[in-house]
Amino acid sequence: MTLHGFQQALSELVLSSDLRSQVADRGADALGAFDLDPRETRRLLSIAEQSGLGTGILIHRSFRLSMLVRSLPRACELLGAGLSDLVHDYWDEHLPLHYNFVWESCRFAGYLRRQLEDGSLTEPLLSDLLRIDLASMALRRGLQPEQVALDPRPGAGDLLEASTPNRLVLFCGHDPRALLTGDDPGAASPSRGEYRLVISRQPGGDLEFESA
Amino acid sequence: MGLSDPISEIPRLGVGLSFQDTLSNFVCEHLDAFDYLEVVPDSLWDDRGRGARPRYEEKQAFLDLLGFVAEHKPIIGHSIGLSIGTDDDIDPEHVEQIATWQKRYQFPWHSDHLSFNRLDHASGHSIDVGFTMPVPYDSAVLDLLASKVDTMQRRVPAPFLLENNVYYFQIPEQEMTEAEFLNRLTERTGCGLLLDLHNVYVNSRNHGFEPREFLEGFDLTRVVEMHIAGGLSVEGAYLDAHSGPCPEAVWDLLDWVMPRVPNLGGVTFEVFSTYYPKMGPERLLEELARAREATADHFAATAAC
Ligand SMILES: [Fe+2]
Repeated sequence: MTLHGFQQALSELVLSSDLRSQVADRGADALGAFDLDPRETRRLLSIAEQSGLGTGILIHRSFRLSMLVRSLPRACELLGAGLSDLVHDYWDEHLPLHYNFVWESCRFAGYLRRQLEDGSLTEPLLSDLLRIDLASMALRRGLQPEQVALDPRPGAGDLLEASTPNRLVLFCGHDPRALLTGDDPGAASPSRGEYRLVISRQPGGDLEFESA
Repeated sequence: MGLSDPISEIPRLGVGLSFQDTLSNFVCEHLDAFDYLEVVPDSLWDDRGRGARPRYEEKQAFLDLLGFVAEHKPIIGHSIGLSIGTDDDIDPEHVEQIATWQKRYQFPWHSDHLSFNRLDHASGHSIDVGFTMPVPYDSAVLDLLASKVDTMQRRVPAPFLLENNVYYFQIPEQEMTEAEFLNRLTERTGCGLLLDLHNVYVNSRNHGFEPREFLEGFDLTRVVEMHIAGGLSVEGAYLDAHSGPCPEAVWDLLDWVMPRVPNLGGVTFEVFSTYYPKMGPERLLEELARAREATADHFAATAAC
């Protein structure tokens, strides 16, 4: 038994559409990179043909997606139908290292910010909404700005003032009142400019947003 | 197992509720609706990974809530982080963290899943696939699991249970059936069984077997806890989604199994946080009341012993 190799290959079948199509095309030859005995190879070839593998992939993806949507709700809502393609590209390049919501959400936010910087993504409001989502996550969980991938230096792009445990003052490139109103943050057309948004954590844990 | 078998001395608690973050208000407002609270400890801290100091960041809001509940009700730990089926060494820091929580909340027993979700990836990273993948029911895997269960039992001074898995694909050419494998594991290690009836129901629907016949193969005297839950159908498969009320078939299964589990300590209702708002408090209260009704004879009889 080479259980470790079997478990690596089985996980890879869930994570990698590339491996699945290779197994469909080339059978056992596609599993050559894994340390497997003949019975394990037969087991994996059988699993690759079962519809239940698709169910496992569905569960894996919906769990990973729900983690991002819960942590970055405004950014994910803005991306709407485009979110699906974006997360699949992201997942192709980023393994699910662990299910720490904060860590995975910050990594996805970093991925989106790089896409905005290099121009492959052109959502004008996304940068502001990511900043608001990350700051909200920090305040809810009692984390420092740098722990949620926000630049802690006032004036460096994310914050306008030094942070305090229950209060963050954010820079916004669009009018935050319009960014924060309504269920669909993309529906309004917030004015561009240099705005200030104060998010504070109330004693009961709720967040309060105050814009100027 | 003889007179010293800790499974036979398990407290008979009654009906429990599996805690999720959206249930915080319900838990505080309806303490009388359940007899114990089951928590997934790993969801109440952030694990910053091996080598990080501190590795585990506990969330104060949940600690406050658990502190309040612990004054009124027993708390049980049901972890997801052990990945006991992974072919590697058990993570000693994780075991110590579970031991810390067991001591803090005095879990009368604690559990994890008979499956694997974490492992070292070919890239050199440790990955988490995010759902409970099955292990082959082979004798070499039994040896691996028995040794890890022994470690848990040595380090955490409360009975340890493993939960029967839900699986969506089948591993062919296994050396044992699921029942044989679990019977041997519990016999060899003395650990208990967390029998998830909804998992059995899900597997029976997706893989076409009769759940009672399946359960007849188990040594049901090892069952310390049972889970009940609801699910939903997606793309031709029935999922263990914990999405709301129990199907009638699961209540029927509970009725059938109750007289066969003499060492049962509790029956826990599970609903995922995202589905609870749709279910609502009234429906949850109804499910808990029905579970109490279905198990009342057992807990009344064993309490009288
Ligand atoms: Fe369960």
